[in-house]
Amino acid sequence: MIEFKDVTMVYDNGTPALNGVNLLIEDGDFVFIVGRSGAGKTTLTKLLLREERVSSGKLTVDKFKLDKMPRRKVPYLRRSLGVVFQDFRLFPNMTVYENVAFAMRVVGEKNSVIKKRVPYFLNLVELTDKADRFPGELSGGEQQRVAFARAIANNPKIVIADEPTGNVDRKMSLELMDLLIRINKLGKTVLVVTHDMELVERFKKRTVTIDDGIIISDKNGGAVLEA
Amino acid sequence: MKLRNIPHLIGQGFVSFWRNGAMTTAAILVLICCMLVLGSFYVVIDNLDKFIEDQSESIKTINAYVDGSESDEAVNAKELMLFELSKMENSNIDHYVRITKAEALEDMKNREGLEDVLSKFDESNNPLPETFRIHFKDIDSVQSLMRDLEEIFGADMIKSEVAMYESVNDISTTITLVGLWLMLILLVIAILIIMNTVKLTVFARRKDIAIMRYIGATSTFVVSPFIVEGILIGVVAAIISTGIQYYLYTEVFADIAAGYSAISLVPALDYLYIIPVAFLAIGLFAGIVASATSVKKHLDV
Repeated sequence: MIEFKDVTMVYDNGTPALNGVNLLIEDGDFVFIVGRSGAGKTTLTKLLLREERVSSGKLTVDKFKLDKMPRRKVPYLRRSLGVVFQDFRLFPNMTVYENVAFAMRVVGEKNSVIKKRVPYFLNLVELTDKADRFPGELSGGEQQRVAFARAIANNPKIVIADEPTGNVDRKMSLELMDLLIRINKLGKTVLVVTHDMELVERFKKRTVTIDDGIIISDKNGGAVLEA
Repeated sequence: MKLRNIPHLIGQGFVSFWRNGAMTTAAILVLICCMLVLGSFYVVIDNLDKFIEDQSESIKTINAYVDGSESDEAVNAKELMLFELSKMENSNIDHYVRITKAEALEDMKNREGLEDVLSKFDESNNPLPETFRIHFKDIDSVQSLMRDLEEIFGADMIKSEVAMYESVNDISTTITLVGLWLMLILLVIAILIIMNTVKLTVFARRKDIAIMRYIGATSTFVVSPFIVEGILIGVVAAIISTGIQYYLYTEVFADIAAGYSAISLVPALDYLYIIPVAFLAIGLFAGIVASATSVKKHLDV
């Protein structure tokens, strides 16, 4: 569960980014966050990862109260989230297998479990035959699939995808969205931050629109929800 | 951090060390250069110091002459007093040698250029006095020894190289002091250069550090492999530097020293502990401190 309660965020240089945002995302939801550049989408993601701190209001992600949480707990919050970025953020010096395994090592998973589960996730994203390749040897779409496998490797309740289709072609975008829907069907909450309206309209999921740091609409596959 | 992560983190340090080939090599090369400059400077200063020390040891003597008119009994009596003085508790006399007139003449005749001048002298007209050559231990209390010797042999009969010894000793002390300061400055510069190089290697991988943080790695988890890598860089550089330094000392330095008959190099084995241990200490310090401090800067994401 993710809950923004009257969240305001102003950057240190005085730039306002979010203004009194109220948003509730229940477990198992699939939500698109949309808006033009500079609307506040990225700030919203940064707040969820506790890269930035709320200026006022309350922000809860699962059991973590981010507005009060001390810095030392940030790694544990991030372990409970699966995050996918537009620029993939894979380790260039690690193979595909090692990239996925690394996320599991961070949480102290046993070697035997890693050896069993990494092939399962690579199979899920259809990259079994490329396990020993380095990210630089893969296409954009393949790299993003590795990022997906890494994001779900620790069985997080929530998966956040920040412009996941920004660096791949249309066909691959659709495949990645299918993958996210499959992940959602596994019972995970999925949050997709995007400005690709064509994709949003095609998949008809709950869509939250932000503009100038304010939620201007919250529609569920066409129906407007109470904010 | 879980204990089962430790072998992985150590292994990760080794893997990074290997995979970041270019930057690792750069850091090791800088480290080796700094260590060799420092090591070479140290052995040169140490050899110079030992050379001056050896030279000064040979002039750490007092000559007491005996008037030719004195009887053998009188000379023997003076030797007995000298013997007793040397056997006293806390005596400053290390040892002494009695040089007879004949021995003194023979010794002089053997010196280059003096054979012809002294050839006309023999036992019957030997102009040289009988001499006691006294080797003392401590320059600081030599004046008291001089007074004792003057009482035995007479003030006019005592000649010493103390003044010369003191000036040579002063030169040696100055060289040691200047050498120590220069080495300290060189050490600081070397450590700063090494730290800067390691910082560059970390800076090149700041994106990796940020990714680790995004997927929930703790500070310890992120920093540990870098420290292992820093240790490896330090150890490898220390081993290679020791090998090169040994070669330089036994081959190059020895060749240079061979050109000067007066110089005999300190045996390389005398540096068996100090050089490798110092190199290792510098390498580890620079590697670990530089890695840890520079990684910390990039943790805040």
